[in-house]
Amino acid sequence: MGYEVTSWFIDQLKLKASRPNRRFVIGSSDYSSRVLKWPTWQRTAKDIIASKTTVELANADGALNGFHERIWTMADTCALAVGFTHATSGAEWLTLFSGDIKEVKYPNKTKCQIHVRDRLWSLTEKKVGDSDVPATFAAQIPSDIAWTLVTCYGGLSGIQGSSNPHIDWEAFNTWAAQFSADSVLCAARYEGEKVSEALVGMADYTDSAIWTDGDGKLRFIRYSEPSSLDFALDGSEIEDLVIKVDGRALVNKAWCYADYKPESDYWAINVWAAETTYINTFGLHEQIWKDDSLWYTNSVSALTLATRKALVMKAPPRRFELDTVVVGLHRQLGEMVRFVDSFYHISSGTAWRFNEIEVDMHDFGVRYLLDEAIAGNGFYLDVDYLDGDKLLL
Amino acid sequence: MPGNFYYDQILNFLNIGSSYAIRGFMYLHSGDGNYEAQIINSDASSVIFSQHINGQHGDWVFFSAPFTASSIMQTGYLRFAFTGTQLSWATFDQVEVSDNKDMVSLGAIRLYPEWEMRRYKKRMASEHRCKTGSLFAYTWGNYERFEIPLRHVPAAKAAIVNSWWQSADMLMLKIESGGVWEVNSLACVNKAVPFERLEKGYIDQMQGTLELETF
Repeated sequence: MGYEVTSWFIDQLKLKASRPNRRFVIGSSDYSSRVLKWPTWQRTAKDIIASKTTVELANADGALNGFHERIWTMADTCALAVGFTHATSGAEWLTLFSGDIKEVKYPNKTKCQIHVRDRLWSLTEKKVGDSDVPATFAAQIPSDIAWTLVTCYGGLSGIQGSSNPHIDWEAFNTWAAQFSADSVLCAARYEGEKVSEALVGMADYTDSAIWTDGDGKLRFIRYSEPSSLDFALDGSEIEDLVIKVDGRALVNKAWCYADYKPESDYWAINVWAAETTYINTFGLHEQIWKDDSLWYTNSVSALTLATRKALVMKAPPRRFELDTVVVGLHRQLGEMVRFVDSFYHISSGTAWRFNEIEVDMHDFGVRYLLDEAIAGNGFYLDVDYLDGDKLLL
Repeated sequence: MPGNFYYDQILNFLNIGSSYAIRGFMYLHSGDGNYEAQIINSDASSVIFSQHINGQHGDWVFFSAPFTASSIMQTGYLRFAFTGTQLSWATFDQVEVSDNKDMVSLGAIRLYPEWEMRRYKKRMASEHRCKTGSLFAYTWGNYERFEIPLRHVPAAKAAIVNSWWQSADMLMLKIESGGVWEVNSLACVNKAVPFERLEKGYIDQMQGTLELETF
């Protein structure tokens, strides 16, 4: 994981005094010199939601009036990047945000505000099936359903390779391989849901994260074991730290309904998993996974989800908001962060996964949201034919 | 000669006997700053006119090389030649060959600043002070700022400067002192008109502070 940059670029990010550059491109034209204030944007793996940002440009000369005079020019893409200039090899850029222009505003005669949303937004504008002719999927691995949703219904490229301009094929392939290896099977029936809504259900049922990355490609991952590529921060790089313990996210008994029969509105399978030690400590906190648009077709797959949910959400997870500098800007959502804080007795022995990032391109600061629920309890394999139903912690 | 560059059109617009100037800006990135603005004949075998340009490291310098047109120049070419002895890297911008008007006819006025005149560079940077006191500083660029207090400025001149402010003109500030001069390209950034107060005891003289920044 991690964006592809040179080791020299990473060294520049770590410098205490550096001269970075920022770039804002509309289509293939560079508008960096017109930017009045560089934006702040967020990217999250907690929800399936399009990232958005607004870039304010100087328009005292009216050069950007074309967006309302010739409104068809609004249908264009934008990209925000940061870079450094090497003495001999020239500029190296890292694209942090890509999206489509969704709104242009002229608040006065000197400014033009470009409002941009990433590719996930386009999936909120397309539906899957309808109540008269539902889109139905027979039992198959969930990644196959996801691929059909985003390509056939969402209109994204169906190229199965790294040249796919809309989907990170390598990440998708890795994601799909986990379901394939474990023979996790799902069926689905959509009666007019938006593609984005269908993906929300998909992410919840498969315990996955789906987002659009800096290069504009849709990325699918299922949280797996902490990577050895994690990075560490200490007090010399941390500006502020906030810790929250969230009791609302507690689930120590998880129910999963499966093998849905749409004709009779009947669920043939009903399984649950419980963490009795944590029920004794925190009381009973139940949650039901029962979705009549996407469901597991066998009890083994359903029990896998119930067990996984009860295991990772059995105790109130700790959440950390970490304000820091750009030393890890080349890291991607879902990677692991180790950090040290002596007051809170946090050592580098534990790695936390960041599932949300906020980048302030004006002040060049980064905020990570780290969530224990997706990192602290380690990882276990889903049911494998070779392993039976044992948990492999 | 390596490093020379040309304007590939002949200077056939020149009128014999008229006064012209080769003007523009030069930025010296590194190395030797010795250059010449030249007019050469059609096969580059001889230099008809030349004037030395001295670049300054890290600064834009305005140059103006006045000449009187002759017939041979009408078939000549404009050339910038590196005349130094070491390596050099320079950028030229807004180069033109135009009528050589005096500064007044170009809309120039002469001002005499007070000793409190300030000239400094401002850094555009983001700074982050971390928990253990370490500082991360990201520098995006810098620009130059002039604050020029002016007293006893004739009302007519003050009105001209105020009109430049009102029309948001881009300005050139030529600073002369003891035969040494330099030119900066600037914008007037005063919040209100630069000259808004009368000089005490005079109804035809103004005072104010001109705030200028490079662009």
